[in-house]
Amino acid sequence: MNWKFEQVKNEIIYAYENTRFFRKHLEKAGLNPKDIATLTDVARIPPTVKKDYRQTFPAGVIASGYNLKSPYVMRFQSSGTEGDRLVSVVLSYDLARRQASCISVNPKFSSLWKPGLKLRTCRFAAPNCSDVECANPNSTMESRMLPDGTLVLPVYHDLLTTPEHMVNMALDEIEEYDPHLLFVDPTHFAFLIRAMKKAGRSPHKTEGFCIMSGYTLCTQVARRQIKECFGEDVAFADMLGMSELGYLGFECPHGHQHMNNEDYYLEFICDGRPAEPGELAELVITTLGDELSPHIRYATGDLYRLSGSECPCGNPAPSARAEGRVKNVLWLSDHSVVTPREIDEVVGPAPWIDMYQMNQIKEGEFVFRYLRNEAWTQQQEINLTRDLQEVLKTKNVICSATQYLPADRGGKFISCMSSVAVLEEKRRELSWV
Amino acid sequence: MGIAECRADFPVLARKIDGQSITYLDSAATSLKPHSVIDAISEYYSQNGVNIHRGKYYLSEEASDAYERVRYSIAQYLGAYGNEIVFTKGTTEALNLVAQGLNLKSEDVVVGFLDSHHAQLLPWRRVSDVKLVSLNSDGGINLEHYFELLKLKPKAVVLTHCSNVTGNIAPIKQMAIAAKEACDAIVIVDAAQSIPHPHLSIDVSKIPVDFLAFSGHKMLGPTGVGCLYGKSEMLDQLRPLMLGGGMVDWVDIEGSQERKIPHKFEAGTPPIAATLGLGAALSYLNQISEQDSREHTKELAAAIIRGAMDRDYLQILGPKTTENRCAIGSLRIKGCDDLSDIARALSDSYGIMCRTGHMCAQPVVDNQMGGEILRISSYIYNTKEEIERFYLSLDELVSFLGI
Ligand SMILES: Cc1ncc(COP(=O)(O)O)c(C=O)c1O
Ligand SMILES: [Zn+2]
Repeated sequence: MNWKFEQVKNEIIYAYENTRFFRKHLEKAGLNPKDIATLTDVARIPPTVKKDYRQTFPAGVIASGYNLKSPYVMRFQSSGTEGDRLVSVVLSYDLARRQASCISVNPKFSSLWKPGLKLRTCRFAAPNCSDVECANPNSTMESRMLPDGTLVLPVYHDLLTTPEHMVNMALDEIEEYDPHLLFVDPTHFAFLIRAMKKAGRSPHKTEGFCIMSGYTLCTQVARRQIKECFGEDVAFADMLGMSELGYLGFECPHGHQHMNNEDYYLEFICDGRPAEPGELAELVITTLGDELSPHIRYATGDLYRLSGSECPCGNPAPSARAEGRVKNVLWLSDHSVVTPREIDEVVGPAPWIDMYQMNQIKEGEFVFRYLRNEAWTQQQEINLTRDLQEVLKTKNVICSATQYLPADRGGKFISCMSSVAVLEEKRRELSWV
Repeated sequence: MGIAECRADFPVLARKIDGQSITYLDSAATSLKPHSVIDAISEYYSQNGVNIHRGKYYLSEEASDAYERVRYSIAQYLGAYGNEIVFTKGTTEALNLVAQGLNLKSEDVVVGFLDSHHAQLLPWRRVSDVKLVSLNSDGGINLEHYFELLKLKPKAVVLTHCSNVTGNIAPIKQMAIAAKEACDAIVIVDAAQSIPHPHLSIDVSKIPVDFLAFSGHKMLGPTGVGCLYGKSEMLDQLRPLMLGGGMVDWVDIEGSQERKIPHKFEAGTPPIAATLGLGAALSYLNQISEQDSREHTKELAAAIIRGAMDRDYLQILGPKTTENRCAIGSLRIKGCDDLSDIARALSDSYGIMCRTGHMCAQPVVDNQMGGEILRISSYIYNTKEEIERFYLSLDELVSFLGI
């Protein structure tokens, strides 16, 4: 514990001495690094939020001595939604370190760390995650190749409108490039799998490579389709990450998310205090040893429930369930909250659903739209409607099949969203963002 | 929200002219706008006001996001995909875009309808050989004649879901299927009068419709924006009517590379505020249930038909039943050829706003009524009492004008 505190304290001192933003931030709170004498004192520092980093990039958040052209500096950009975009920088070796600590919880992925391996990755996720033009139907494989050996596969911003020839292009490129790792948005990848079947094609292989899911909440419906296609034994795991920091957590063979508390100091905050296991809490992150762009008490707007028991896999890293983003939770009329993960639990692997989107239109009004398949029956829809009504504590839940569900403008597909949760007064109740 | 309470949402209805409140009975021409639509427009101008799809700056991305969200919500409303929705100025532009873009030859047969709006007639006449389906004796579509004309193997059939003159609702599903079975004709639907009514919404995933056009201003939205839905395979082949900025990916000295659909049809800066207003209009309409919409329409249509049938001096166009009908009444006043005095007096003395003329559908009006008509058309904010008041006012006028 002491050792951890030393690390946190060093990070605070480093950020205070080397970044303009954090120095001002502490001063505004009437604090000085000397005031932070124990781990409990850390909580006196007001959390920092995305907006701070957006507003002060680059001059306020890049540590003195560095710039965008410094060696090993990688630049990331997330489109966000509703003006929540961000440009951020990470040192490539920090990223690799965080990635390695996370992935170590799952032995199935150890093949990715063979010494000397020149890793080939294919990425299939929303465009905008990098500077390559993966949404351009005329782009070539070369133009979408990143320096680190990642091939970004072509896809439209609005996932379901991606035309057949682009789907075929993506599948051809997977075959040709033969990646060690498929790094995918689960909903995007499930779409690709359906399109593959429709085109009468089969998976390029079913073993000897890994699939990692990230970017958005991995719905059970998407997971089911990936497993059905590649088999139960394929190395598949869900990773938790943020474009500004990299890997935060990874799924162990027992299906639990283990959080990386080696490279970060993680706080789970509920009502302004450390959360008890099982409580809905916002994740607040402090980087450790980040010399480029240290983040101190960075409030993520992501909700978690800490697990109370040890994971049977034996890994000591704390396990937690990712519940979704603060701005995507559903607010019920009795002022309680249902998270995207809880909605996904209600829906389950639903063999009759290909993809879904729950949308809170306004206070007390919910619409659940989904793409159905041949396994659909009316009774299943009736049952699901009833279950949703029960969790949402209202009859006002419309459940309807459709053939189109829009992605958000940045290209991400959000399976659960709410026009109530985005309101500032609601967000404030759960989070600092 | 129920239809009964919606009047308060329309600020114009609170206005008085010469101390008299307004009875608006011209919604087939354009609808009134609720507060939420007006607010969406003014909020864009007061809080944003910048161009879309241009810069990387915050305001431009915010505007672009809001603009594209409207496209998505329209797509969801129609059961279409997001890239199948092209924004146009309105129904007229949408139909011209299709007529001009299909590469029809002058000898190609296109089957049209006698009761269609000029917007669904003239663009086709310019590029093809249009054959018109006649009406049957009660003013409904003569389906026998339609099936007959399908034997000519038309390249396209240009349907109107709801006539703006007769209020008649065409069985477009049956007609579209017949056109596909007969000769795989391209099916183009003018939905300008039906889209405003939730109970007449069309699910393009369930009907073989290739193109569908409508205007924002008839469905509570602002003027200046409308939509063309096109099946993606069809839009891929359609030739853009307008060229310019925003519709190309790449331009060099020799040529250019068109953007993908729907953007290749949207050259130039669009009416951004109006489009956001249309989004608000759709949200408003989404709150009205199909059931409420159907019942309300039926009640108003019944009042319109009954009022006309009860009066010897009136003749009403179209079927005399409330089945498959919108609350539109096109009336001829027997023995009165110039209706302008009547329309003026209805407005000035009674505050009743309705229309006279040929309703941009002269073939059917001349054919069925032998000249100008007086049209009343109603919408969600109208009441049965307003229709009754219209007829009582007309009685008074007719007797004083000595008709
Ligand atoms: C049936 C029909 N089609 C087309 C139009 C033309 O619409 P706009 O003038 O908005 O282009 C109208 C409007 O009156 C109409 O009623
Ligand atoms: Zn575990």
